[in-house]
Amino acid sequence: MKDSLCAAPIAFETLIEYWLGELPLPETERIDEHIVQCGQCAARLGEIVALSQAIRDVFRKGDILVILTPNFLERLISRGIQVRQYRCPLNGSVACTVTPEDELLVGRFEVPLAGVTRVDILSRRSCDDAEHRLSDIPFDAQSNEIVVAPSLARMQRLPSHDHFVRLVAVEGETERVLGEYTLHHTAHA
Amino acid sequence: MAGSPADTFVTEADLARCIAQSVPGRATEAETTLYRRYAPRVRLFGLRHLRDAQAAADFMQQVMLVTIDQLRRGRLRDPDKLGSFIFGVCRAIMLELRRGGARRKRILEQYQSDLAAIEPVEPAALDGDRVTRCLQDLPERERAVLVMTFYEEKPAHEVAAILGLTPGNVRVIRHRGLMRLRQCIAGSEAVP
Repeated sequence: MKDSLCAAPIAFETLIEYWLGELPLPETERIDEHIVQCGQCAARLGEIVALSQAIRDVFRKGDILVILTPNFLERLISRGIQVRQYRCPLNGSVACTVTPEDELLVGRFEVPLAGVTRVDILSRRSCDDAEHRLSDIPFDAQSNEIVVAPSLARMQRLPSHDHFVRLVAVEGETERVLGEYTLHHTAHA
Repeated sequence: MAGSPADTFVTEADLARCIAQSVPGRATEAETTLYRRYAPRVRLFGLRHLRDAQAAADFMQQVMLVTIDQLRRGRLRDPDKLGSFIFGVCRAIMLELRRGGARRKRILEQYQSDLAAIEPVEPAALDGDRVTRCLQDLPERERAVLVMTFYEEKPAHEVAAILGLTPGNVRVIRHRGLMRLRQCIAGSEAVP
């Protein structure tokens, strides 16, 4: 006995909205019933659940660089995540490190964001001298702060070095420097 | 060549009839097929409403036990409506869970050993290294929205509030990010 083809498959986007609790109650109840009765749509919902779990797992392991916001960071801290954070004043520098006990490493860069619509991050490390650019990063303009969570796994492997960071506002074809920062990273002994 | 147990039952109504017409506990093959077919769906329903993997697994077990108990007792009047019947059990158990009911405890004690031998149905986990690479290849904005959305499974309006965006904008970024992520994980297409 095989799953029969669904006569009225639920759109992937609608399944995401259902999973995240964005739909009104009648629509939620309709999909509740459909999921129990339809193996095909249940399998697609299962895919969303697996993706959601995988994204959480990757973030918790600190394997990826993510731009966060101060609000989201506060939520993580309130959930008991062991966060090592460094605040970098505008055009300033800070000494930093990372230890095996840390669950999240965060750089908080003070920057004036009023009227800014797009921010790019340019960075260079003294240990490899390669320049990197992160384009069109998300930010909350009201916070006047950019929060960067680098890959913890990568940071734990790097030797002591200086990390030069420049935040630029992109306006059409032109760029305006918002702030420049230096992080003096000492590798954990 | 013998078919799998699932091939024995042509329709879901066949399954329901077989369980109802057998001596209670003797329709092992039909009950196993029913469990393997419906338990993953019931688990998803439980996860959606309980937001806890263990609670959803318990819920799934309870729903399947009550369903089989009811089928053995011939409580399903129209075998063609097996799916609707199971959905009704889901709703009733969810309501009872929220009230902290006692019936489920009695049924669990009575029948749990019947289903203990059936392999639990777990969804296949994704390849963590591949997900990491694919997430890292996404544009910053999409990666951030996906992490902020799925870390705590928050709706668009809550993510929008912490990012200073509109909910509509978050939905668009989220959709684009998920599509790219799925394509990348499936390996069918490189992330542009």
